[in-house]
Amino acid sequence: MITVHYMGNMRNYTHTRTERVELPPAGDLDLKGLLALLVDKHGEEFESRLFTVGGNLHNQATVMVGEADVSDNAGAMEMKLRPGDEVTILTVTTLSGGSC
Amino acid sequence: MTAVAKTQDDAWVPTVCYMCYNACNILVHRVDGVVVKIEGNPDSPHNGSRICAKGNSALMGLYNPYRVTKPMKRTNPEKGIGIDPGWQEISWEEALTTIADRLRAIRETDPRKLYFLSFDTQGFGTLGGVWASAFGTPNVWPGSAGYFCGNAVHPVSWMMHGTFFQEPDFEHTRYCMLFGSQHGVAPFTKNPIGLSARMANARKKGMKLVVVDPYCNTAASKANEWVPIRPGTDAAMALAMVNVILNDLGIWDAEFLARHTNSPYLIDGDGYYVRDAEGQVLIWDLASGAAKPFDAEGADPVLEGTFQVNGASARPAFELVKEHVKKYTPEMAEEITTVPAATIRRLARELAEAACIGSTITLGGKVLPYRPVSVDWSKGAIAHKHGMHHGFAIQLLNTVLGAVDVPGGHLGVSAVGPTWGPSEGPDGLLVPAPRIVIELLPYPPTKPVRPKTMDACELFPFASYSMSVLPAVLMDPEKYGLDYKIEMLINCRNNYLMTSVDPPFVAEALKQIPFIVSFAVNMDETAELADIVLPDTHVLERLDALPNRVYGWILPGEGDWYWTVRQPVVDPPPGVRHWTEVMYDLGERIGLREDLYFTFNTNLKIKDPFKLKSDQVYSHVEIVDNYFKSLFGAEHGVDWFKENFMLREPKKIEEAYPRPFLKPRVPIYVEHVKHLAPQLTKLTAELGFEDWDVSDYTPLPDWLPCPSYEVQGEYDLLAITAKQAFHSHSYTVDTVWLNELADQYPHSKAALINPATAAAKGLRDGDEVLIRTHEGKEVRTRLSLFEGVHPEVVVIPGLHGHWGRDRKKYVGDKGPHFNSLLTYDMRNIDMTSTSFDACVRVKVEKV
Ligand code: SF4
Repeated sequence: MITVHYMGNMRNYTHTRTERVELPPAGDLDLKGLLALLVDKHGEEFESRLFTVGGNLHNQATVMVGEADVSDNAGAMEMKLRPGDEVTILTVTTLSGGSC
Repeated sequence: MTAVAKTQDDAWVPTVCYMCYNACNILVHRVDGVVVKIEGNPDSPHNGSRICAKGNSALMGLYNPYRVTKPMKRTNPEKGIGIDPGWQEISWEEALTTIADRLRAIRETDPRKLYFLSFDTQGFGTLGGVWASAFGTPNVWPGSAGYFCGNAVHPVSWMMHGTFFQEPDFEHTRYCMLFGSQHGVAPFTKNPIGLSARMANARKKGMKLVVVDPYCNTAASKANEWVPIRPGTDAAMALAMVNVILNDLGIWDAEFLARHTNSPYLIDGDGYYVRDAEGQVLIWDLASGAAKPFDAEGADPVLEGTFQVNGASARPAFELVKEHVKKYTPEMAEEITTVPAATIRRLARELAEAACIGSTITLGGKVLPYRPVSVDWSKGAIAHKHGMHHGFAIQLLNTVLGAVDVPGGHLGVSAVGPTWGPSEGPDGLLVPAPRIVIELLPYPPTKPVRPKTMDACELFPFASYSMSVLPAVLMDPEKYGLDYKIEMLINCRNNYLMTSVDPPFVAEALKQIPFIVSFAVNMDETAELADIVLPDTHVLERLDALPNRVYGWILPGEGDWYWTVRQPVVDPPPGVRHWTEVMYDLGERIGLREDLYFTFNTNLKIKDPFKLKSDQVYSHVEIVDNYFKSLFGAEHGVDWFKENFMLREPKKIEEAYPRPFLKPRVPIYVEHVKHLAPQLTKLTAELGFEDWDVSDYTPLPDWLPCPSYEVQGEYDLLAITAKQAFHSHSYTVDTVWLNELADQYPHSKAALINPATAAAKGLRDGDEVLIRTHEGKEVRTRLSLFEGVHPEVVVIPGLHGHWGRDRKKYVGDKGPHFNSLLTYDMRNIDMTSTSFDACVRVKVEKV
């Protein structure tokens, strides 16, 4: 079981703050697979906040696995998830971002 | 004899000006707790010892006896322009309890019903985005009114440089053209101090400066040549120049185009990329005589020709560009622009020859392409119905000459930094570094979907923002597919109403919001529509982290990186609080702390051990301190910055001139918009729009006429606005010193018109005139005759004419308010960039 937390504006698309996602029987689910499951469940408006056309992570979206922000990590989407992992998804709107 | 009190306190405090958005580094002289003088900071790489009249006069606002110093609530339920709100002073406790109760109720039901508006773009201006996101609303806009801001500048810059903004490389440019780009006065990233000094030095070193503008502005007055152009026609002139350069002179930077742009990408008969079975975009490889993926090792891509691929004809994008511009003959452009065809030909030749294509320069031990030409453009060129086309058309001049992010060329501001750089996105095109991205990106675009946000940004996937659409949606959310209305607006450091077009319409839109909170240093026109007004700090009383943000408020090209602090020089008057602190306080009251700190930590990438912990409460100073230490190390907290003011380090040459070192390409042919157009058509039809205009979604730029071209007859002049060196937006117009300065300057608080035009109408210098639009809007003002105005144009500089009840007490600013001439109508909005058309047909009559 994986726990997914939604912060801020993402809750307007999921209508929940937290949900639990069953791992597939084979047990191998990567981050990309999880996000695809969530997109299937929450629809294209949710998808449009998370991904750009072409499948890049949206510049206003942040995805964290546990405490780690994986949004900028090349290869993060292939990261295998394990039972008990907590994934957090948030968006921050405009003229924010940037840490310098 | 009176005894003279001994001075206890005599200090020069380094801080950062905020009288406009340029973030000049200043030294403020404080004597016994009183600010007596402001000067430039000689150690500053940003502006040196120079500042402008606005910066000098900051202390007038500080000691303005009409400052708002107490929270106030409205007692008159009726709202509108000119209506007395019936202010009643209240305690902070009453104000915050009232606001917190409403916020709590909104958050529990539907957080989207809160709109957060702030033009506090520097320092912890980020708080707007973070706070609103933690609250749960997508309705936040930390920018200006957004009608003709950088609407069509930023999307082009994000795509062509990977940056928010762009500037000429005045250190190495030998030939600079400015299209509607008011260097020397523009109070934004055009750095009217530091960059102007660089421009002046470049002129001394022999750089030729050509300014294309309907108005002989400050830069034009210092130029070798001023080229008066009819407003809204810049794209026609630029495309005619590209035509001359490519088709008559046969000059282009083939190496740059082949390696750094999508010029060699093959395009099919329908205008789409040609792809292989794996979906890779193809180029034609000269060596093998076959189509290959664009990134094939060792390929030698061709730029011209017709090839058979996948059983059909295909041509490189560059070939399409060459063909596309052929119709823009100088003669055709002359008819549109009024610029003589011979001038267009001459300027095209001068520019192309000055580009020195093939030459190199050694800088920092690296051999780099040397393209000492830069065509810069800004709001004047793009504040039109088809603004995005103007931007792409002008930028094409830099692109075909290879003058993009190389020495001497047109530079993005901070595309590559010590810890960031762009990446390669779909089809090998450039995606800006997330660290400097502050708005929506045109590429890769956001998928158009049914709107959820009150500015309907979902319907403008090629725009960086869509604030100009907000009033229309506020008036009728359902029409745009929204199932809620805004119930509360929090407005910070933003005189939204005065900087909007068509104030009566926008006031009606704001009246749709039942509860408005406005922070105010002085009572302004927007605050007068509020239900509660909260006193905010003056710039000299504030602590702000890093006002010289690298994405906008730093000089491009060679030099240093610099990180600064805006620190309080004096304490605010009793009861006045920095709006940021008030928002933290409100967050505490509504139980937002955990979400707020989490969002702060994540968005600002605050690292352990400086992450904000939700089991403790941090003050504004403590949050800035943690942020600084996380970014720069434990020794560089707030105290270090207060003491030392600036952290700086030299830029590497790869950071100053990144293009030769980057793999991702930039587009000369914007193919992806062809995919967006049908998606938008389908979506807007589902929403009930019968005629959503997607005709501007084309891969190559064109000149398209503004609506104002359709109206003729007695409305025979085009009114435009222009900046003034001593005013910034509406913000400084109430500064008494600057108001006096404006009174003595004949081009201020007036409408400027060419003497020949005036003579033909029987008008004289100093006449009181009524300027009336074909849509019934009017302003009354004094006429000032000036040869430096295009004969078909009326220029109304600045944003005068404050009508606020309080401001009238001490300013008496009687100048004309240009924005009042513009009629709010979606017809006047660029459907790609959301730029609002800022040229309008008028007639001028003596009163
Ligand atoms: S240019 Fe702007 S930031 Fe610089 S001194 Fe003038 S008002 Fe201040």
